[in-house]
Amino acid sequence: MEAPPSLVRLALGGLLLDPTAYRAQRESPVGMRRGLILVLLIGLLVGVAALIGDVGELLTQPDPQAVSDTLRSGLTAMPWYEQAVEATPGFADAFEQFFAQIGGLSFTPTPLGSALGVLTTPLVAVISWFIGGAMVHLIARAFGGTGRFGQTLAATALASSANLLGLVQVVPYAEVFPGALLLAGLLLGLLCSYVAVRETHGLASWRAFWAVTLGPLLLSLLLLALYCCVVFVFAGAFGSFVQGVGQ
Amino acid sequence: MIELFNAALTLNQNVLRSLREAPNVVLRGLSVLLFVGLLVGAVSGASAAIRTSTPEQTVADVRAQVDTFVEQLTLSANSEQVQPLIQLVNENEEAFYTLLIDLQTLPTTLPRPVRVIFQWLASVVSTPLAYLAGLLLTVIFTHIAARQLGGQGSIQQMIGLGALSTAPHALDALNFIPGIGPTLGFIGWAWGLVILVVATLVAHKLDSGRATMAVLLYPLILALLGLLAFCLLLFLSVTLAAGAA
Repeated sequence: MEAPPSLVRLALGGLLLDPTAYRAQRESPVGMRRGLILVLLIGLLVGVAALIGDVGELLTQPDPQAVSDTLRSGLTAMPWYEQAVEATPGFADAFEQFFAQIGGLSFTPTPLGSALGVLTTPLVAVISWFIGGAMVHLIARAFGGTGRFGQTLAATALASSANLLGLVQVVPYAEVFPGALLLAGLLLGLLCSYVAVRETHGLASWRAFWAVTLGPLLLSLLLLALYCCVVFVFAGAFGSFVQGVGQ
Repeated sequence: MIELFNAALTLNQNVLRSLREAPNVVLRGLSVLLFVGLLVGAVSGASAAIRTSTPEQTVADVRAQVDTFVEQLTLSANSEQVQPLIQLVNENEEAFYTLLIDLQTLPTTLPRPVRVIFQWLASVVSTPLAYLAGLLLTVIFTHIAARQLGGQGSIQQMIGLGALSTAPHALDALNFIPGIGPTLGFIGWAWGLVILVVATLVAHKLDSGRATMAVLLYPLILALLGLLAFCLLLFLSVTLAAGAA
């Protein structure tokens, strides 16, 4: 088992795009094992941080049912509600129906969901590392890279250091700027992977750039195409259904 | 770090050149970003905490915003058309504030001040992240353009030096001052842009023209594409409207 200070130094080196950390990881005979431990550890830490943050939010928010009840009684006490009921006969029923539907929705984190996150975050991190690493390795080799698969995985494990940004979730309500954490993590992860591929495969900057971005680009295009197909099929099915009902 | 902060603000190229050659260029650059982010986050978070520390203050804050909105609507050119909206707001305003107070005073496990402290802390830790996301997006596109224009710098040098462009954003901490806050924010943004040009120039050893081009190339392309898309949409809607008529 790797001593913690060494892993911390490695993670910080990866986070700060230090090429020596990536080279050391590539050359290390235990690089793959160390990478796996690092990915698991970072995932676990982020999962625990999110759990603590969610518990903090839970303890400082009122009961969702009480919020729903207060909102319903407050809205129905407003002058606009009376006017709407008088103007539209079925409004009161439609309002109640709508409220019954959205009343079940809650933005308060559940303890079970957060606890499950402690287990799923490291698991998802390992799977993403393996699939992402394999994809990057194949493209890098196609571009003339010389690294071995194990070396690619060992180096790209350092890219998971970007997930350390997720530790801010230990503070409740940390998503003050929605999407900032996701965007920063994603971009830093891509940059870390770029340095990892360049150092592992000895590729020129542009080739390393394409080796890292081609996979996500193709995947995005594929998902977009799939989404379009699904929308097209559903729109067609819905159209046929409406026509059938009309006849 | 303060020396680097001052050097960035005064566009001191000698300090920037020595930073370029430093092995810990990313760490030193990002420490400036962290400092600015924490400062801005702490001040703006404290300002928000003061405004929302009690339910009454929260309502007073919302009331002020609603009043400004209604005032703007009343002064707008088509105030006749928006009259029903103004009437709706005026009729329901007080009941809405009562609802807001009721929601704010619902019991929670931990007392309200704990939530206010959490929200202040959230602002402190989130602001550097928001700056980092913006910086990385800017730096990646600038770096790609700079390399296309013959630049020789590495991505580490570009991030480290580019991070200095967040130094003038310390002015964002004064955003809570009514009237001058947004102006100071704009000055900080423009100053940051100039620092980014100088950082690109030093990191990639480019002349000032190419460095400016590297910084502006992709934003200009995006703006042009946006304009083209807008024109195309306008043309299509006019054509469709003409066809329907």
